[in-house]
Amino acid sequence: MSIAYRIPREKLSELVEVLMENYLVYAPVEKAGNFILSDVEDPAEVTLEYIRTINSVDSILLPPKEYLFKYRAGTMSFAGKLTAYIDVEDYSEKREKPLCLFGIHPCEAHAIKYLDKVFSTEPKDPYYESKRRDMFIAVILCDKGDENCFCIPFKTYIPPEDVDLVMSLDGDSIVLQPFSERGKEVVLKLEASPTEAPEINPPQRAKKIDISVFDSLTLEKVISGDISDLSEKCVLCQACTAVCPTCYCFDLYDEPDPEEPGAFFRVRRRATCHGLYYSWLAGGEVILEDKESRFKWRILHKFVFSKNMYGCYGCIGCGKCTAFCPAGIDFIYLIERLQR
Amino acid sequence: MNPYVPKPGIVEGIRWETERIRTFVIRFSGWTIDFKPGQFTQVLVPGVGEAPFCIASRPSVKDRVKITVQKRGNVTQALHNLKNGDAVGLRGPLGTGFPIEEFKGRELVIVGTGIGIAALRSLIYLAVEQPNYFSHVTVVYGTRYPQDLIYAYEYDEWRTAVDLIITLSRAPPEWRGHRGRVTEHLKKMSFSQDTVAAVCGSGVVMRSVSKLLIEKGVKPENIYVSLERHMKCGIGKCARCMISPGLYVCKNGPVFNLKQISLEYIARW
Ligand SMILES: Cc1cc2nc3c(=O)[nH]c(=O)nc-3n(C[C@H](O)[C@H](O)[C@H](O)COP(=O)(O)OP(=O)(O)OC[C@H]3O[C@@H](n4cnc5c(N)ncnc54)[C@H](O)[C@@H]3O)c2cc1C
Ligand code: SF4
Ligand code: SF4
Ligand code: FES
Repeated sequence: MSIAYRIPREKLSELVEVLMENYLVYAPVEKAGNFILSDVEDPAEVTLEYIRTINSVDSILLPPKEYLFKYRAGTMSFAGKLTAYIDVEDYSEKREKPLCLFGIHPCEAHAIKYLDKVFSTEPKDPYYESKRRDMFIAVILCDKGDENCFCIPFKTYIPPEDVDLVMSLDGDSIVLQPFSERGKEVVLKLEASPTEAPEINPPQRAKKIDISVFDSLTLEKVISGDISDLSEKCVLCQACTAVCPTCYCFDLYDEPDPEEPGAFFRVRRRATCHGLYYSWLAGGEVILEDKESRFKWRILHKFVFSKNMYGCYGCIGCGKCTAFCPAGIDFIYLIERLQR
Repeated sequence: MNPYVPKPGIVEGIRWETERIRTFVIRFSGWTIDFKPGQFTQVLVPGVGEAPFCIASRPSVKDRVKITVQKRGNVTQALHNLKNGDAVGLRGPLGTGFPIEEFKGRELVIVGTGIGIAALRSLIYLAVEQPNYFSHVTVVYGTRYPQDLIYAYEYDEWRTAVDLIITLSRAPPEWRGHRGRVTEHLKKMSFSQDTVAAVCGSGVVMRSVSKLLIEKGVKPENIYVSLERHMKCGIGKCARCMISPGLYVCKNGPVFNLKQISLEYIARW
């Protein structure tokens, strides 16, 4: 569908309002000088002009802490025999409407496609699926970016074909290009005038590096490389993995229900390979024992393991891990060093 | 079906194997299992949490399983506190297990050390239950001290179908059996091009055993190791158990041959 429509910028909140009728909308809003992907209460707070949000799509699909189910287990007599039971009550968050991710950059839409490969393949993750089902995705084309972006080699500045709506800013107006029937229905609810579909160009300030930098990363190169001088600077704050749109590791544990003795919650909490507990084994051995091995692990997961497991890279080049690292560790520089 | 939800079972028997190791018989309440030797299960102690354990019972038995548990931390300690008649939860069978169809009619050498023998017990049971399944089976099982040996009450039954070599690396003077590490005994044995091996123990042991078997002419694709990694989901989602070159130990393993993974990654990331 190459037909596009134009609305004046003032009508942005109207567009958000239309979506809010049928969806629970998450969009970038400014909070204390930072941009956050947040559930929208007031359509007027939504902005499409930002470089990057701190949190990412993964924090909505796989929340930092999520209650999955509540259970009670015990035994009872049944036909003169003792049997065990586990009563399970779904405790995952219920929404009346499907989710809409509005105004995310194209790279983050690619992150969703990557997470789909992990969570929507057999055995399917029911908690992920319930959030992903009927999700409406409206991306805003990214024109500027900054020196931490490296989406160009991955072509992740180009929206995936199965999003619903592609938006771009053009002077005083917003150009809306529906990619799906649902997207078209939404646009037709507004007074929009037909226009030409926008050209999709790489963000101006994004790093211009070649895909061969990643294609030539091998298991052997990563393992034998020396980046200890860089990893030494890491303060283990775990920001890099927390902000990453494609990081998905998690912990599962049980927590008692304070209101009902004998009942427990199964909780999912996001985990990070930068933490010590991540790879602890029963014998006391820690697989990723030093900081350098954890950096290498993250690089391997994104570029070598993902390629083997899912046939694609697990990094979209959003640059968040570099932008939000308090120790100033540059992800691309790490990779370049491993190339030597 | 929600893959995170455990199914109920009841503790029906507890055997004290050693001071730190116990074997539990868990009978399922209203369901049955069909598993392959080498597969595992996530066992829930209600309120405490889950931990992965190899299924250490006869593949022909469908209404209950045995698991052998070494006391380590929270869940394993809680398991040791259970009494007959207590409820537990199970998820599984998980993982792929040994490709036993490919083992049919061949010579099999089983090498286990420490608690690793638990992962191999169902394979030994298969040999015992179907004496003609393999052309020949040797089990080399090593621990440090005599008091570390588990399943001693079954060795006579095992011996009806397999050559059993039990060896202690720190045998006391009065010990009448074999001495030394498992590798010392494997060195004396000879294998054919067609021999298959099943190995479980610590990472370091599995690496040295595998290396030796390759030197002795066993093909890497015929050497199967059962790996341990930190596991949470058991179904290829949480990524905690990943190994080089990009496999989930829980979903793609825990049993791998040495063509799927290379020797050096057995004991490291
Ligand atoms: C496929 C597989 C099969 C296994 N089979 C057996 C078996 O047959 N018998 C047996 O005794 N043990 C087995 N284990 C090891 C057993 O799962 C761990 O001892 C157990 O998870 C420790 O849990 P815990 O709550 O007692 O320990 P915790 O209190 O959680 O911690 C104690 C130590 O164990 C580590 N650990 C915790 N959880 C896990 C985990 N899920 N996987 C690995 N290490 C962990 C911790 O990091 C820590 O170092 C197996 C492990 C795997 C992965
Ligand atoms: S954000 Fe930087 S300092 Fe924090 S854990 Fe990641 S690499 Fe280390
Ligand atoms: S650039 Fe960094 S934060 Fe962004 S997807 Fe790649 S690894 Fe994750
Ligand atoms: S245990 Fe979760 S991916 Fe293997």
